[in-house]
Amino acid sequence: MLRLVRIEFCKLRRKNSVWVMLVSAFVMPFFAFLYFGYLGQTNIDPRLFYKWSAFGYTSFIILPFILGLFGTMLMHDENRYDMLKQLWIVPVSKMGYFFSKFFVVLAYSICFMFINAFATVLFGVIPNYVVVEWSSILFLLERCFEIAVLTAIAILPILAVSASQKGYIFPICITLLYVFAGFLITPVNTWLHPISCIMVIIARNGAVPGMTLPQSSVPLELLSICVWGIASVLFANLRLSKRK
Amino acid sequence: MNDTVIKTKRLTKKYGTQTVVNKVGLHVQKGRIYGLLGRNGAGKTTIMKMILGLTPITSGSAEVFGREIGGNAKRIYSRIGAIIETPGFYPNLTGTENLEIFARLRGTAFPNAVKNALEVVGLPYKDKKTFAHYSLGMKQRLGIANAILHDPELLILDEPTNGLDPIGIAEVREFIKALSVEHGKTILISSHILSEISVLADDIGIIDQGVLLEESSMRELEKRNGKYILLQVSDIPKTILILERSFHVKDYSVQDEQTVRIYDTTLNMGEVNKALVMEEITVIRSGICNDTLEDYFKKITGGEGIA
Amino acid sequence: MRILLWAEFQKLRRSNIIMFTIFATILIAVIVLVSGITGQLAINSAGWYMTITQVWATMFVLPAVIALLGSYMICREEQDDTLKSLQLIPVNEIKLTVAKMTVALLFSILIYLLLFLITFLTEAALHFSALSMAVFSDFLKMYLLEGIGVFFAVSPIIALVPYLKKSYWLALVLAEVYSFSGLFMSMSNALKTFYPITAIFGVSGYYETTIQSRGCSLGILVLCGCISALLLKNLNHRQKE
Repeated sequence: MLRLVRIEFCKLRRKNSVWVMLVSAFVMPFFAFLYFGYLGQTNIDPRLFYKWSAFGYTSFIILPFILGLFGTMLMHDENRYDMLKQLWIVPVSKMGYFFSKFFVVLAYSICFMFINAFATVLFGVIPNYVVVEWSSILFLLERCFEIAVLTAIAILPILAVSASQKGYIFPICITLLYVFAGFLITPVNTWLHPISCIMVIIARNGAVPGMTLPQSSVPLELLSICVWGIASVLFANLRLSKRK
Repeated sequence: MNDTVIKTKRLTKKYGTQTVVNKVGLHVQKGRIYGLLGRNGAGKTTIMKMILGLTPITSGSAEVFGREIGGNAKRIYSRIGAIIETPGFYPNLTGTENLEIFARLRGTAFPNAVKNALEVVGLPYKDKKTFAHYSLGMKQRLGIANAILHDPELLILDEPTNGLDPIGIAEVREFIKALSVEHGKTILISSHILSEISVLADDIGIIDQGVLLEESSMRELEKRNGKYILLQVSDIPKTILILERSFHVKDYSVQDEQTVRIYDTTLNMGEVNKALVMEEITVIRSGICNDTLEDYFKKITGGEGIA
Repeated sequence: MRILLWAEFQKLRRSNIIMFTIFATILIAVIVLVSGITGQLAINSAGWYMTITQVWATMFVLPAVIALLGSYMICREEQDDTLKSLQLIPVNEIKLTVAKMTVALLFSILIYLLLFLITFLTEAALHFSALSMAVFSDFLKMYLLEGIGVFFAVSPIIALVPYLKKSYWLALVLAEVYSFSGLFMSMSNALKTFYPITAIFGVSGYYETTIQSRGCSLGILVLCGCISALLLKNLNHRQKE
């Protein structure tokens, strides 16, 4: 397994767009910076600032979208150059192949969120919006890590769809809709969609101020994510074993 | 009427410091098949691309139908059909639909152009199979069909038999020959397969590492490299004197201090040997030899053979 | 030119991208409806559904979808290696690009029309009595203008794709971040007028603004179109050299 994951990383060599995509981690911290600058506030509750730059749209929309694209990209390259045949006769097990992709997505997700955390601190501290406190930075890092891992799992359905498809356009449309659906459905119901589940888990015990969510039972949300994850792995397994 | 269809003068292409094509002067005559022979990466495709104006020329010039492509594209392209490398088509369309797009973009006048072209290359008309599902051979055939779609006077074919099976190669060879003989088309064809060029081409250009080593007609080449009488004797000047005086041999070449080649293979060797021996010349070896194009190729490229 | 347009449509045959865009459009409508019904909003207030669907669609999904469609068509020749064959015909590359962009614009409009059709019919099913000819024509105009506006707003991204060496991925990220940033731009009145995505709303009449700012928004969209035209023109020059 480890070998497969390492090979996946090798495949990313000379793919500049992968690195450029990481730049989008700066988008929300930058907007938070603009927003609070616009309001003219200083001495903001660090958590409020974090909510804006890391917990809000970043984890809601940007990260799932980027991960969905990244996953599709990983799958698509092999499809495009007709590499799968060669992989099957190596042989590489189909689930091993799928999970190696997942681990790369996971690693990418963690990278992304740490960059985001770094940017958040940078944009929060430099203009003097928030006071540097190790406890709050640790809180940020811990939550970012949680978001990273959970979102990577939440993106499994996309990965499964792109594994079952030859083209890249359908998985991308699905990514867009998936992210969009998560965003719209959260105010109504949180345990239906993995991305809204993440919100509840992140905001548990009122850790994020001003985030009103209709449900707040963490175990139920975790269960929902697991169900989605397992269902997509099964789906991927089914489709990959049918594909030649 | 100028009979040279393609003429290049000191055609050169450089990528950075690397010279891919070096001062090449090609002359393709009207109504003939010109075979450009060279190994993979010798610069054949680059030459064709420069002739067609698909890639900028570093220095030198290339004229097609007596004009440079730049500025005259519209008039000249309608008289050329070409395949460069493996041809690209839209994968989601069938062969017929692909050709229809190209036919309409060209404004081809003949109503049955697509059907005819497909017939010539042996592909089905109005098939349901999309290009994405074509085999390599079918793709190549479709490429050729696209090249002959508008009944051009000049065909530029870059390794047209690439990916075809032996029967396919023979078929393609047949109709290329037919296009030239029956319809009087001028054809520039490149290949790395020597046997293919030797059966097909009227003229041949041998290219190696971007340099045109040889350009001559096939007949001449055969004469030089085909059958000849090899005579190995002790005294060359005397032998030649005898050959010229007594046998009226004019077509010969001296290879070294002991060897001479006589290209007139109808010469009566018994008589020649007798005459030489009478003049006290030792005949070390005499007989009919047959050099292949392969040997020739090896010789001029400096030892390296070709597939 | 007509032949080029015909060829572009031919090239899209059997291409799944059209199916997917239609599929995406329908799903947006469904998702908004589901969230609207569970939140009671779609049922209680007439016109809510038609208004909200276009806002969310323009903010989140459709710009990226249209950018994807456009960049797919622009990169088509290079991707399928047909550029050589087209150059040998010869096809004027500027005209070819114009044909491609025209088709993209048409699709953008058609997608919005489809969205309009879905939302209007749903609205009719929910509150038939509240509908009138004026509502119909107002919304139709809004959706149509948005279709055109979105195309112009994302056209620079489509034009940028060939420069990015076939990385549609980057174009998509760009398009998504670009459209989604509209959410924040709408917080300030000045930015709202000048940011292309929110300018669409200004032009379409969703934002109630003054004539001047509407004109400014229109200007911004036209400017976007000019930028993409410049980019594409430059590209053609670069290829020739």
